Amino acid sequence: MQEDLIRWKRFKDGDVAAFESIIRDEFRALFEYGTRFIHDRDTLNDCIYDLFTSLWDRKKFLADTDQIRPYLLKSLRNRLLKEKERANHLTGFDSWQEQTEPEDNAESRIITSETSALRERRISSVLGSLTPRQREIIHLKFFENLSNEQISDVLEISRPAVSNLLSQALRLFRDKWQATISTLFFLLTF
Amino acid sequence: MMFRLFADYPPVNREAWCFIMKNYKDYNLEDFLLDDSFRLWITRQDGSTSDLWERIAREYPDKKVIMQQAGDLIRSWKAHSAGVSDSELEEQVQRILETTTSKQPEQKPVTMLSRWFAMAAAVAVVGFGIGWYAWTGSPEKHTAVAYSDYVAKTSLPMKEMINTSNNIMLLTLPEGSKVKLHPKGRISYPAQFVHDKKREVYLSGEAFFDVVKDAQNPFFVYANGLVTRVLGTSFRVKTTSTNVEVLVSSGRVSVLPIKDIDHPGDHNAELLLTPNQQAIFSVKDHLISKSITNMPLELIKPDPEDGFVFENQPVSKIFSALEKVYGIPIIYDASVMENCSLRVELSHEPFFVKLDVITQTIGAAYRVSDGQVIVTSEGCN
Repeated sequence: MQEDLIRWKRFKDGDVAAFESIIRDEFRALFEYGTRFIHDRDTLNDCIYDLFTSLWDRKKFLADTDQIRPYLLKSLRNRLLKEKERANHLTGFDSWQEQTEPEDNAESRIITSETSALRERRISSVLGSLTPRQREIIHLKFFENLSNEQISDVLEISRPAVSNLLSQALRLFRDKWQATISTLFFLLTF
Repeated sequence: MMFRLFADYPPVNREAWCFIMKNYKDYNLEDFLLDDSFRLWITRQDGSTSDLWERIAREYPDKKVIMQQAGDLIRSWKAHSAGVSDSELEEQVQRILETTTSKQPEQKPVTMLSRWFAMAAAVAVVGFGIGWYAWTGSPEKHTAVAYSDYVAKTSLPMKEMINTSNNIMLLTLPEGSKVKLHPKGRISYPAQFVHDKKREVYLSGEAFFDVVKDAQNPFFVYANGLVTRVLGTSFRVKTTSTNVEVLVSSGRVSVLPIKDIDHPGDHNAELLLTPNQQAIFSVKDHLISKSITNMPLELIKPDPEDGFVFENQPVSKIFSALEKVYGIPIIYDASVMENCSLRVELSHEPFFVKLDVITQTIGAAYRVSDGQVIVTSEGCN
C-alpha cells in the first residue's frame, strides 16, 4: 500500500508524528497477536516497547515496506520466539482455555444474548482443540484479515505451506465443530 | 424462479448475480470462513455487502445454518481479544515515545582503547591478505592432476574431441556409450577404447555420460583429480578450476580422488553415489562431499496415480513415500514425531518444495547433509 510506504519513509527520516501514528495504529493488533503467545500482559507490553524502541534506534538501516502491519507482526513474532527460547515464562497457545474469560465488551454481550452460554462454550472448546500453529494462522486470517501472501511473510513459510496449513486447520475446525454438534444433539434427545 | 429473483431484487447486475449464485451455492463452512468479504461483513467492518449476504441466506436456506456457524466462529474468535483499553494504549504509547524521541542519539566517545583495537584489526587484515596471496599464489602446483597432464602421460594412442561450438555435442564412444559434451568441453580416450579390462575417459569441462552396461570392463572418468567409476549408468561430470561435480541420474557410481587410485585396498576415500545424489570434489584439498542434486528427479512414479495425496496420515508414511520416489534417505526421530500427522496434497512440485510444505505445516525444519535429508522437529501434540 502506497500510504504505508510513505508513512514508513517519513518514520525512517525521523518524523516523530509518523512514528507516533504507527504506534497508535498498530499497538492493539500487535498486542492481540502477542496474547496468542504470551499471557502476561506486562511482559508483552515490554516486548512491544522493545520492538518499537529498537525500530526507532535502527530506523536508518531498516528496509522499506509498504506493508507495515505484516512487517511489525513478523518482527514481534521473531522477538517473542527468541524470548521464549531465552526464558521459559511464555506459556504458548496451549493454555487457551485457562485464559480468563473475555472482558464483558459489547461484542461478547451480543453473542451471549443471541446464543446460549452452551454455544459459546462449544465454540471455545473447538478453538481450544487446535494446535498452536493452527491457531496462529487462523488468528492472522480471521483477526487480521491478512492475505495468504502476507501470512507467508509473517510466518516465514512458503505460500503453498500457508494454504495447506490453513485448509488443514479449517478442516479440523469443521470436523470438531460437527462432532460437537452431534454430541449436543445427543444430549438434547435425552 | 430466477426471473422472480431479479424482479424481487432489481438493483443487482444480472451477470454479477449469476456469478455470485453459482459461486456460493457450493460454499461449505471453510469457504465462508476464508471469504474476505464475508468476514468483513460478520465483523461489521464492511456493511456494503450486507444485502448480498442476506440475499444468499434467503435464496439458499440450506446455507443459512452454515453461515450462522461461520459467523459465530469468527465473532467468537474475535471476542477472545485481549482488549487494550484506551488509557492502557495511551500509557504504552507515551512510554515508547518518552524513551525514543526525547533523547538525542548518543555519541559514543572514541577512546584510546577502541582506537588501538581499530588499528590492530587493520594490521590483522593486511597480514591475512598477504598470507592468503602466498597460499593461492602458485596454482601450477595443483594442476599436476589436470586434464592435459593426464593425456600427455598416457602412452597409448589417444583420440580427442573438443567442443568449440555453442551447443551440446553428442558423441558415441567406440563401445556404444553416449556422451553429451558441453561447449568448451574436451574429452580424450584411447583409440583402442577397451583395454586392460578398463574403459577410460579424460574430461575437462562438463559432460553427461550414459554408459553401456559392461560389468567386465568398468568405465572410468578422470577429471581434475577425481576419478568416477561405474559399471553402467548415467551421470553428469562437471569440472571447474576448483571443483569437480558428479551428479547421478541412474544406477550407482563411485568416486574417489585420483591420488588414491593406486591404493585399491583403501576404500575409505571411495564414495558411493546413488541417483539424485551428487559429489563435490575440491581440487585443492582433495576432499569429496556428498550432497543432493538441486532438482531431484522422480525415480519411480508415486504409488497412487494422483500423486502425493495424504489425508491425515502420519508423517512417517509421507516421508517413506518421498524416499521411495526420489531415492533420497530422510532421517528423523520417529519417536519425537510420532504424533505428527497431516493432510497434504502434492503432485509435481520439485522435491524441495514438497519438503518445505510438509515440514512447514508441522513446524519442523530440515537440512541436507551427506546426501541425506535430516528433519528436526520438537514433535506435535
